[in-house]
Amino acid sequence: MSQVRCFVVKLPPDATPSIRRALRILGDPYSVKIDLEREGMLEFSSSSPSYALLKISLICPSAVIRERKNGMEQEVSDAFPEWVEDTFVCPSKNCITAQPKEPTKARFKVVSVNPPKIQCYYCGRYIDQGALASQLSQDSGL
Amino acid sequence: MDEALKGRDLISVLDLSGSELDALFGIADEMKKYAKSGTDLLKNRVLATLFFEPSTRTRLSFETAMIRLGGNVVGFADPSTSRMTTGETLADTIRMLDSYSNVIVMRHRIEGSARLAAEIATVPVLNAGDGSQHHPTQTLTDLYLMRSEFGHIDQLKIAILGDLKQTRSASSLCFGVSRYKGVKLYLISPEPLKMKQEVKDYLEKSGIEYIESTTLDQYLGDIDVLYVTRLQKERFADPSDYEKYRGSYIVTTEMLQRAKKGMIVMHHLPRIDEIPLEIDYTPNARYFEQAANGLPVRMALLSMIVG
Repeated sequence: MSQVRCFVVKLPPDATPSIRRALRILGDPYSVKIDLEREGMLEFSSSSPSYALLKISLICPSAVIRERKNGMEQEVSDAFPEWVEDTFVCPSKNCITAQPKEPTKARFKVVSVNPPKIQCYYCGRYIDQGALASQLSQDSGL
Repeated sequence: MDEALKGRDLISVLDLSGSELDALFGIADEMKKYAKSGTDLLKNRVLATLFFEPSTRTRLSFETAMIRLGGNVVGFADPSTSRMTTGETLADTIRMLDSYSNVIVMRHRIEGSARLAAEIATVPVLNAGDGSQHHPTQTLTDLYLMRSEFGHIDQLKIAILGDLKQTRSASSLCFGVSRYKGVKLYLISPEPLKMKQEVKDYLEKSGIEYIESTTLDQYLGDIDVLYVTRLQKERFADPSDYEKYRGSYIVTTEMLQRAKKGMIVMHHLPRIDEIPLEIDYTPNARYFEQAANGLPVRMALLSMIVG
């Protein structure tokens, strides 16, 4: 079984709700558990954190992420996954993923983490940080 | 017959390596012998053609190619004659055609539709154009003509003129030339119709030099190929924008007199008013040969993928 690792994320004050939402959406398949949250600070634990780390970096490139190990905070050296799935949707109405009856799952290639930029696997369009942030802010459920 | 492509999908021209392009063009040379007489290479094989958008050259050359190779063709050129009009999904339509045919050729206005079809179908799917993104077999035809004309594609200086933002043949050609060395592109368009950033980033990543400009004149003495595109009227959200840019670039005989010796004029066709009829009679015009090459090129592709 993979070891559970703990992370401390320091955020600009207005970024906390977006990051919290992104981590909650990740859910159980990625074993992400939010341990503590307050304004400008969030702690989470996970046994497979690379996807969560990528998601945080895409949504908030200025977030400072450190790993807590033996009571000490250290830099994170994980490599980001090349692809990101779920959470984001392609904003192009002319993309096959925007056709509600077709059996597609949105999938994006990570072009750049800072500045954040992902590219739709199906239509090839870029989705930049503005569009990523906009998608998260549109959901008022969290 | 080269078996490297057997059973593979063709969604983007980038699905083919440089050596695979060379092999395909070599077989296209051979196929010219059978373009009228035919062979029985694909006897008892069935090609399904699904054209959800209008097509003349691509559909008819694919169908002729399959018939010349001894195979059969089913499908539709008008989606209103299919069950899609009753709300059947693309996915379900593909599942059916998958069971009837040995290869599927499809064109759709929705980007990524060919990729979805390829995920669903067990038989190869060949993209005959999806939205403004990919048109790999047009690019094969374009590259084949350049190879035939110049004996090489490396080092060519190619100007692509017109609606670069919405013309899939233009973006697809950019992807295609990235398989060759030392090609230089001149991307000439009105400012709002510039090539998509995604394509330009790919060119940079691939080491392909390109220049963007709104005017062609200063490059006429340098370029080997003038690739003209039409404004994609059907893709303008606002019809007044189409009218605004219509006629932005018209090739004239006076321009051709100032062009580099041996420069050829290509067009993916159909043309609207960007190439007047008098250009047809100049030694530079190659767009009809370009379209005619679609037959041996698609015969080669089908034979390599299905044969």
